[in-house]
Amino acid sequence: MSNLVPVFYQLLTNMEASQSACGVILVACKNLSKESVEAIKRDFSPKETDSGETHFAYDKTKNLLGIMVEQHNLADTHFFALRVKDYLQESQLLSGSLLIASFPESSASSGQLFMRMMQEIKDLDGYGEIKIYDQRNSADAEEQTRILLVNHDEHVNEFLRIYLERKGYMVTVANDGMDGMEKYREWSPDLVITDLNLPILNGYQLMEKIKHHEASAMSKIVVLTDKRLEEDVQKSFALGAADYITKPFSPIELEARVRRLIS
Amino acid sequence: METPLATAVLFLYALCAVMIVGLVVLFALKIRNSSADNKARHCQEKYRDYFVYLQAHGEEEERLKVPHGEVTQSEKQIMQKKLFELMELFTGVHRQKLIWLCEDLGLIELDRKRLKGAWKWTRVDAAYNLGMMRSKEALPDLLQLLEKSSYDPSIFIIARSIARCARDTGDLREMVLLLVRYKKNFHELIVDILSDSQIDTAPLFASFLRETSTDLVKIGLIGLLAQSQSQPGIESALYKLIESEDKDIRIKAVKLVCQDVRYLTEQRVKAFMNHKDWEIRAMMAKAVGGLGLAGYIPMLKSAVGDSSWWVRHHSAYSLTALEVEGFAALCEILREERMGNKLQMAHEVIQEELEKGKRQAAATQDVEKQLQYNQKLHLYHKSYRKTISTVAALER
Amino acid sequence: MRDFLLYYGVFAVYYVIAINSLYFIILMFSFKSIMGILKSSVYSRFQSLSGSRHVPPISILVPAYNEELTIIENVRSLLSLNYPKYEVIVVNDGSKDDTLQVLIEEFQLTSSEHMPMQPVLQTSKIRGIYHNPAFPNLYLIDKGNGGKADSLNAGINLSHYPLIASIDADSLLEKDALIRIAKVYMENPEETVAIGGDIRIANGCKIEDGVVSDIRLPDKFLPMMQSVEYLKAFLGGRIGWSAINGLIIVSGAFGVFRKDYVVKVGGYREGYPGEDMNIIIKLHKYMLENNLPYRVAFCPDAVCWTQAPDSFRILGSQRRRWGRGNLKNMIEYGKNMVLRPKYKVFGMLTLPFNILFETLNPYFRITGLLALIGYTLLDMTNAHVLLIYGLLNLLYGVLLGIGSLLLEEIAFRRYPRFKDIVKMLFYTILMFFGYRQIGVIWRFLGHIEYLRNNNSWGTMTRKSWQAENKNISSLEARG
Repeated sequence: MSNLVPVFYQLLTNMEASQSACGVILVACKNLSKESVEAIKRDFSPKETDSGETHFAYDKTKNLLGIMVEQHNLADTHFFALRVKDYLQESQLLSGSLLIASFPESSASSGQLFMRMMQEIKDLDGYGEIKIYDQRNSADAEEQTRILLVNHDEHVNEFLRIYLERKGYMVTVANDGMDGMEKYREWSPDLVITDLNLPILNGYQLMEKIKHHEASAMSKIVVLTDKRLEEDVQKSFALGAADYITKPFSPIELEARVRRLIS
Repeated sequence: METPLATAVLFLYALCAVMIVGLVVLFALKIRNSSADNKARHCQEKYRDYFVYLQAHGEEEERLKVPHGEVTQSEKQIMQKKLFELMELFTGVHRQKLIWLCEDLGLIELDRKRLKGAWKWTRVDAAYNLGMMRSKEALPDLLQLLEKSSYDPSIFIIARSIARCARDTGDLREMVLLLVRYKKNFHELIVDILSDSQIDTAPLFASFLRETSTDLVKIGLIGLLAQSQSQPGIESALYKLIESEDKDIRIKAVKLVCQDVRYLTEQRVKAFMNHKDWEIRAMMAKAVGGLGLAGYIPMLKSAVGDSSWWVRHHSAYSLTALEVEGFAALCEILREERMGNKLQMAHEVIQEELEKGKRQAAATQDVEKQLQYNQKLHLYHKSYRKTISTVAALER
Repeated sequence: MRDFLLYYGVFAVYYVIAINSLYFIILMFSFKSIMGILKSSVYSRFQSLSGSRHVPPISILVPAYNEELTIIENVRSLLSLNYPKYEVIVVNDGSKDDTLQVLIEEFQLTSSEHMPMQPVLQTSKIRGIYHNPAFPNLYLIDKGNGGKADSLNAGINLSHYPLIASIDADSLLEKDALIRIAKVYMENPEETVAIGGDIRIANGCKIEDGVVSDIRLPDKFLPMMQSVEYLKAFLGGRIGWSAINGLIIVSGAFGVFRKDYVVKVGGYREGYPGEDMNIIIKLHKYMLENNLPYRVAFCPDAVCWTQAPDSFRILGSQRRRWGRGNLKNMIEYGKNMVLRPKYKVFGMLTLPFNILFETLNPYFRITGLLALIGYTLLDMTNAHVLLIYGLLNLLYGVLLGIGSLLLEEIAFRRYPRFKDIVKMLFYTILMFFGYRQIGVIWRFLGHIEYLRNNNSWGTMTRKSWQAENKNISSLEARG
């Protein structure tokens, strides 16, 4: 039953031809018996996925389960993957992580992308992680823009990490000004997004230090803060900030500004 | 002998009883709180992947899906907290999608029921939640709740929720009217609360200027002062307020006038600089420097001798803000005066300005700045020579 | 003789009941307002408020005397508070160490000889004002030694904003303490003349880079006792007193005041300890005499961490000083204001309460105990009277302790571990075996010192302030 690659390759090519969308989930499993694969098929029968047909394929040698759901975009596929993970975890069949993607992706052909996905899941470690396959970062990790996030609010950090990584940036997170400065030295990012209210070193002190750091000519600073006073805006720009965004913010706008700054 | 102490003994028993009750409540509360903490942690772990899903797909058109399978009521409420943290961060589609999700989870409906609950703090909880979820349907109930509340910290929680849920300026106006009932003068806080609303508040503030209630007028003035753009059509109301009997209103109105150079006719500047309130004189003096109105240098110069310290202070600083010309006027004071407050203020500010100029000139490559500093230094020395005795006397 | 001793003993028993019942009533007021405090603390978005234009600017005054070891750390920490607009004014009160030099060096301050200062209050001679445009909201005043109150007055003269906050140089403010207090102010800006913050004991906590990173109870005996004691006084007492506007003290370690009224009552008064209680009494007096509506508020969720003395010698000197200050304030103001209806709750309740149960407490307690011991020695058959006296003291005290622990558990929960609450409970009981009695004696000694040295207050104040600050181990050293 090692028919995962040919079957999915064929299906994807057909989809591409008919210009219909689908989502693919690859799961690293334990050794599945024929019965358990059948059981999985049964339990995820189409009536629950409400639209589109679901295909299952299992690669015995690589211990990979592939699931393809027709007419699912990435969000649906992601949501579906949550269920798959829970299911496999409960029946103790999960051995590694999950990789998800939706097709057709923009540029390359679906078939080729799928082959790269197969490559990537082999290198994926961890257990039970759900990772969104990004065609960009597998290709050119060197050229990715690196963003350092400095914020004391873990919710901001968590969200922006997820959001900006999906947009193809490489993101590192720091919780306070001191931590931020250390990561800045180690990593020399292309862009820093920082709050002004930070423990230990505040945003101004951090900007001051970045300004006096040797290699700083390259990195841009965006301030993302609750402070809405004109004085703060002025002072931030005086210290070399390239942009000033107040919370609550629109992530779309933030990303647009970031993109403008690094281009 | 027994009698006087009998009450005390009785008291001892009562104390024991109350103490035991207190201890039981304390430990029960402690256990309940820690189990709630554990539950929350467990729930967060359980839905970790789900939250990643929520945050990764905040941008697409369709609604986010509620978690698969049974979600208990307490789990929903724990999720709600995390959803609120996210909602507070965003504007736009990201927030809207999370609000829809709350609706799909049945949280809006639940809190609308709790808003009518029997216990006061349940109602306040619900009011806060509904505000976070921007539930327009709950607005009438929220207004009613505010109307029934007496003055305590909870009214600010409810008011903020109303601001967030408001459908139009009418709702906001009603909320403000309910708040000023308490007569506690928390005008700044009201304006801050109004800024949480998604509605443009400038027309509301402008309309307040024409009210008779001083509270509303003050709120209107504070609101307009915080706006970056000046609101058209308020001039006539504003000019009337300058004559108000309430000093606070006078001052704020003048401050608003001073923000916009178009309002400042020569006649008005003159009137403000000679106003009976020192606050207004000080504000005008400050504004002249801030707006760079070099034509009023003579007026500022004489105001350095004002009876109020603040007017002297701002006049002198405004002169330094008016380039070399203003500085020259300050130096003239050194020459003209022999002693007193005017001379002292001019002298202090000149010294400070020169110190500042010296630092700046040393730090910058800007020839213009250096030239300016030298010019000022020269002016100072010229007047310094003539008044050497006074200066020496001052510095001793 | 025997009868007299007995009657006096019985009187002492009922005195204990009365004092504790009043404390209990105050505690009930605390319970009454705790839900409002809790909800308003949980449901206010302080992060967002800390960036608002509508928050009033505050001048933070930091009197410093011989603080060279900790001052840099503390000023850095104060410069990074979450607050929209504020300034930090450090007042070097003629330190004998390098406090001035280390500050000038660290922040590259330069002397601004001609910085305009509005001299609204009398102070000792100002030697210089230092500033650096790179830290626009930091000022350093160097002045001749004049004591803590004098330093605060000098700070007021330079301050540019309508609210002032007084903070001890060896205390550590939580990042959002100031914005929490400001919110309480904003809710009633015209009537609020002063707001106190909650003081907690930092001994045992892990402090890193000016931030309390791990909250623990102290390991040592004395700081642990004070931890429980502070919790009782602040949560059980001050919340309740503020609910009826009868607060008599805003702790000098962290309080916010309206500058205009502080100036109107003549500023802080130098010359004897207890300037923090003195200013509040004067504010009450001024507002009541002028018939102005006002309140002195308490904000228990604005926390200031402080190092508690951990030796008997220093603790004793602190408590004697409190005793002295309290007595002086009561003699000076109490006698003119007590039981006058004009002074409302403050005159009719707070002051009598303070005089009867705080100032005179040592006399009643000591003599009551002595009387009962004497009686028991004369007549062993009635030993149970002594037992009743002891039990009443213990049980009522423990009950009040439980009450404040309950408040802590309802609203703040800063010590989340189960064993912490058991430990605090244990110390609440332990407090009545020795610690309280020593406290009473210290207070009594303080009164004696007052009566002996009435004229030489200035020097004594400064000495003890100095002794204390030198000996309280630095925050930095513990980090």
